[in-house]
Amino acid sequence: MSLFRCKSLSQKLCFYHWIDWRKLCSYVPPDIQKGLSASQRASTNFLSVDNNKPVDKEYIRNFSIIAHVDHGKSTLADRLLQFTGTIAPEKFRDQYLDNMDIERERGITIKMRATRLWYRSKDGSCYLLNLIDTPGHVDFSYEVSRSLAAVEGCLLVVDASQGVQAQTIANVDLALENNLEIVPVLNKVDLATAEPDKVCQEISQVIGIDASRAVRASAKFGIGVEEILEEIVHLIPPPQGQVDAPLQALIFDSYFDPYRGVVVFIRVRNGEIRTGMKVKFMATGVEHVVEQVGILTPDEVVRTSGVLSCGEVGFIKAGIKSLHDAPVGDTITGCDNPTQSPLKGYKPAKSMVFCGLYPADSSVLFENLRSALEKLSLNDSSISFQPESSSVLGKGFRVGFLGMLHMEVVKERLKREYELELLTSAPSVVYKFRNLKGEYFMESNPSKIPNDARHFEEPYVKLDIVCPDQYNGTILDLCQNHRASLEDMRYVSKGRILLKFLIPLAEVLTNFYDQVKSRTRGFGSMDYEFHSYRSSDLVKLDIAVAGDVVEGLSCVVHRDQAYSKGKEIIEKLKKYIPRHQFKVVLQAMISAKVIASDFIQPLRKDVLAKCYGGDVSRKKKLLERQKEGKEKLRQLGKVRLSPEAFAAVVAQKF
Amino acid sequence: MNSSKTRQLAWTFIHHFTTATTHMTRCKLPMSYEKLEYVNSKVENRSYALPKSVYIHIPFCIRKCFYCDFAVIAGDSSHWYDNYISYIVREIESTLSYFKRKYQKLPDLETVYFGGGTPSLLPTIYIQQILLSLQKYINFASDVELTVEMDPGTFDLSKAREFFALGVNRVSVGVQSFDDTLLQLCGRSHNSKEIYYAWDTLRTAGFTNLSLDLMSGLPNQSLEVFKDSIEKAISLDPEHLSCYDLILEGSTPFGKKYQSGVYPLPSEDEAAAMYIFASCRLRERGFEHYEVSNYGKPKYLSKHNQVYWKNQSYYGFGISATSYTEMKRFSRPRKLLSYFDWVKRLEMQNGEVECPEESLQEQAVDTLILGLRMKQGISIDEFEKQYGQQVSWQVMEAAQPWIESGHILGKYNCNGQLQRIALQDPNGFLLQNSILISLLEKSLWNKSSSKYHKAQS
Repeated sequence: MSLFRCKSLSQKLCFYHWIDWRKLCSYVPPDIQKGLSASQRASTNFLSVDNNKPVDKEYIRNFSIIAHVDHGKSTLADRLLQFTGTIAPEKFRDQYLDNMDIERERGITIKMRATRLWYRSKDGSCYLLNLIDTPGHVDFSYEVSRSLAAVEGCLLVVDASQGVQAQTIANVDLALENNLEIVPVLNKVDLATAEPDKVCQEISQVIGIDASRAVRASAKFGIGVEEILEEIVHLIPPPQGQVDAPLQALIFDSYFDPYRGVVVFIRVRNGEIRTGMKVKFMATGVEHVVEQVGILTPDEVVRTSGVLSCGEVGFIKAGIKSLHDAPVGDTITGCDNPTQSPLKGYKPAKSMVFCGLYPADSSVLFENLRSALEKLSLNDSSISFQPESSSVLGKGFRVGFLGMLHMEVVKERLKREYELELLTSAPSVVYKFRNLKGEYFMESNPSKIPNDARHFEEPYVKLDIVCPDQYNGTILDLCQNHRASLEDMRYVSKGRILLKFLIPLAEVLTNFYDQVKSRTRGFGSMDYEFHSYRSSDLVKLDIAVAGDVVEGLSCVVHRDQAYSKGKEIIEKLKKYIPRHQFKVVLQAMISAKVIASDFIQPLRKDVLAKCYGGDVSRKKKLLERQKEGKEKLRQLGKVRLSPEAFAAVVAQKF
Repeated sequence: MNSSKTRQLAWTFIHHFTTATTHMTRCKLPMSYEKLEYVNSKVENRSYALPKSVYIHIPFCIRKCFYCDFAVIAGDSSHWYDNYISYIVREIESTLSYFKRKYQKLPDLETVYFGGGTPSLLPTIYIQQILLSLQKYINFASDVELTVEMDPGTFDLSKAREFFALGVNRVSVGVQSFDDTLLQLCGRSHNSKEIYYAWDTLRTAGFTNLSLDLMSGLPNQSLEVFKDSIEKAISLDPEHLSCYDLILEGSTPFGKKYQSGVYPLPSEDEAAAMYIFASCRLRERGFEHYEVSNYGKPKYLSKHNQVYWKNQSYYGFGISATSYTEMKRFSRPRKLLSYFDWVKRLEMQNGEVECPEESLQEQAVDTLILGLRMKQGISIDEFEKQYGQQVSWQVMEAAQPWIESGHILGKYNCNGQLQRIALQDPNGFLLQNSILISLLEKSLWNKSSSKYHKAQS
């Protein structure tokens, strides 16, 4: 980071130096003017740009950046913004497009962002580049697929030292599905460990695209940025579509602003959209009058001309009150001259991971949680939730997430933005099962699965792991322990392999990713996507504490793992549950048959040995303290335990 | 005599009536006429509730034990003796003259207790000074119990004889353990040899009422080592024996070093086993287990300590000493110099201690906490008479599950009514805190009263 700062400073210094020099001479020789760096060309250009005018679509390039997490996507976006003078130097900060607190803290991109860049290419014409930055983490691959539907090409950023990684492959597959032009970029060539030639070979071999022309760049030091822009201009085709055709605009994102209502981000495919126009959202059938149209620079700038033309990316505001009226992936068309066919949308994001969210103490009302979740889901349509009540945790919600990181991010946002302290139950997936009568059910909450449930089916995912081949054995071993079946195994390049597995999603949810990382000394990467439901020999494991089945502790496990899992939970409970006046028996059961059990000895000694004249008030204080501690305890069946232990036990985070 | 008694009666009547009413209105407890009556009837009993016991704290020690958090001045501190005793005498005189002025006739003292610290470090002349200053104002009963704590290694035969000559008739010997490694580990200033020597010396000097202190639950102390100490103690044939389970206090070296129930301290189960062994073995040898940690041969129970557990009043003198007079529970400063300042202030206030009186509710809590430490427990009848039917019923109801689980011993009259509750030995004693909390929670600490309680403290 500091290195980068030095570099940008020196760039700036060069620039100012040049200005000073010009001032001193008060004369600019023509050859120096000709030699103006591209950034000055672009920024001078930028100043003269009229944002209000639609741009000829021949000079528009819509693209996004895809890469494995941490391969430098957002940094490259930063450089593009800087190089084209989109952002004034004094306003610039690293990871400019990541503006959520959590994004900036964790250095990840969660939400995609769109912005436009002006670039005068070496051939002298001025191009409008619409950049859509995408998240890199597995959980948010859905966001990637949305942004890819709105562009004609993409930059494929590959770390020149790490090579092709699991998500690189997954993202390229997505891009190919959308028939996008892929511009390969080798990033971080400045690193001592960079092996650009080897990586080029990897790209050609694994992904099957010609990488010989790949730009060798370093986003950190701003190397190769101009070449990348040139490649974008020349390789990525201009948008197709007719200005005079009926309006077709794809919604690729939207968010809810409490003051302005829903703001919809669109890519106009055909025709044009104007202020005052009556438009129809084809999937929902809702009609609205467009109130404002604008572009993203990346700030939202309203176009006074009120037109967004074919090929352009921008936003509209149409007095929409709910995100559900304008679902992402829907097509907008004009009411007067409607199109016959909607654009190919995409499937709504499906929640893969579910967990119960409950107020941590009764002072946080259930209603507060409800309104917080509602507000949050306005901005994050991939959250699903429904009320749920548990005898252990009280009233709360069962919330669906895209993945574990998504779950963490949502919890963090609820905590920060709405100041809610929450208890979470152990995450689980949606199981399909039949009851005795043969009826099908789907349920994610293990405690709601009846004891007569049979013929379980669980979601499987396609898992890709890329790692150095010396870790092959340990990864195979890990996956075997997690009920994965190996589907394919091949070399990405000399010494690195790609392993493809089918694995139950539930197995990936625990600390699988950490395991992959630690077993490969950090060199392995993984990516997964939903494959299908498959039948599994699953059983519901109940945990009884002091004779009562505690519903919050039930879980669904594979029959072979039932004993070890039951033993594990019981051991952890034993660690957390304090001694009581009675012997606490802990049992793990499969439909009332005990498979593992243990007990906690009763409390033996709780007495103050000495109590003379001076000790009376002290003893009273001690008892009062003990009582206050007792009041804070949470009930788990017949036993009581401290809030911390309780949270750990119900979340089964041990 | 007669007139003074009437005056006294009148005073206590007004006094108790007002405290009771203010307390109850604040507490929002339903106030019934019966209750008023009981307050009136109580006056007669209370008028004689002037202290008949004195506790005197002598803080000097050769060294401070690692588990001790009493107010103690360790090391050579003989230069303080004169000054300290003179302040104690001043405190005694100003306090007792205040009581004398107020009540004219003070009841005879039944117990005097010199605790510490190590009172046996003091030259007997100082003890004599203190006793004389007490006798200036107050008569000693003919059967007064005069106890001094004496630690092995701090006295010889001549000193023991001097104490005996002063009228000291009971000695509590701080033995703690007969295991030399343990004694050293606890920072005691004596070894086991000195224990035997001290014991013989005291017997030779003529003492016929000796008490012996032992500790259980010490670091690295196994059940075997503890059993050995108990047997050795029994072989000395003491009249009285106290056996304390180690209490970890945060401010002490032990408190900083160890965690309760974690090695090297014995586990909860081991410590409980030690307690149970002591209880069974000593009862077998004819001791009465009359309080959680105290055992005595019949007729040799500590009269002084029972004053505390019966929640009766007592005087207290010296640093950190607590007194309970006129329903005021007051702890003196723990630092020598602030104690001196406090005594000077006390003299300016003519010996009256400034301290809020205990509310009726607090008294009830104390009675319960203290009473249940004793084998005899609490008489439901008396409890009801003093603190009202409602509270007594709540306590009885809360006690029921414990009676069923065998932790509380309930004594019933022939009508099947509960008359007395006491903790079972040893199961109930071992869980005393948990039992007390559950009883108090459902009675005196219910929501409205606990709020009041907090506001007070």
